[in-house]
Amino acid sequence: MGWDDVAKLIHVGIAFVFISGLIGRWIVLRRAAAAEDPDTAHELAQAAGPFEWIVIRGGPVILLSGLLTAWAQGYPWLGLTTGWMLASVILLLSPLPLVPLVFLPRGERFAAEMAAAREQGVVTPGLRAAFADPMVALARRWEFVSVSLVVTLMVLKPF
Amino acid sequence: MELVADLLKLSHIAFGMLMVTGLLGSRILNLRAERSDEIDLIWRLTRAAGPFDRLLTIGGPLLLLSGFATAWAQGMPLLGLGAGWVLASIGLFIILAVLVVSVFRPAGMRIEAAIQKAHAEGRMSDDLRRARSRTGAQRLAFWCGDLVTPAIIALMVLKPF
Repeated sequence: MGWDDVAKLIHVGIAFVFISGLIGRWIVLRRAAAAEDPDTAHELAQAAGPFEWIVIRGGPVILLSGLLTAWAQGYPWLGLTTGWMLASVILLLSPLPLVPLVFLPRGERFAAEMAAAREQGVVTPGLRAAFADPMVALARRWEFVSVSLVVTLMVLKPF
Repeated sequence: MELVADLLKLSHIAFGMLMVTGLLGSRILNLRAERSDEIDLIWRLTRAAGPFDRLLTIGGPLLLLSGFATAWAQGMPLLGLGAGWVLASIGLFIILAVLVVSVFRPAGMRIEAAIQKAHAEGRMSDDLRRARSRTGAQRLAFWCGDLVTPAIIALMVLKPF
């Protein structure tokens, strides 16, 4: 067992936690969206926080640990001249523009709708719409699809 | 056959990820619930942990089956049981299953019964506080349970023996 194995183990471990964060966030937020009262919706949205934390921090860490693993395994150019690794890096970076374009502005709108709903004591149509925001849903789906494709590339190493 | 082996390996990894999601999600939500004395919040969080517990129940057998299928497709003798790291992984998996049956499930059922009763009464109860407190042996079992999954992942990646 060498350093390259240790680096690979760290990379795989981070990937497992990262994907758990993605799926976990989706499960908890779906329950929050289905809540009948704003307090339950708020508490469940809060409970999704640790999963969100994992997803936000996991992305860059998974990329760095992957490049480190490629370096430790002796791939030239940190593996970026190998087709499946380059494709994986591009896929992993692809959700990055979604943060300023979708997640941050829609997140602020969601927080405002949640505050308004809690003040009124009912799940308002605005909060329902914020939970069901199609752009956020699409962005989250892409996050999941891109990561699933990366896992597939890592296992199959097709090119 | 190589493609079949790779696809089975991919499915094995996917089931492994679902299992880890179940473990992590259940732990995060139940820990949050354990830190609260507000029965409504405890109720909501433990209900939200339900899908994660189901992932564990479904994922466990699928993980094991896909693992054996992968070993078979890769041409490993005795469904992989001749390899030390596979045997060690199965051993750890059995330890986890024993812990689930003998410690986690009974403890979970006690807590669930106390939550149901406290929720019906609309207030936190001493029963629930007692059910939530763990003995030293139970704490050790939970620690072991938490360590088994990373240990299995380490064996799968490193294949040390």
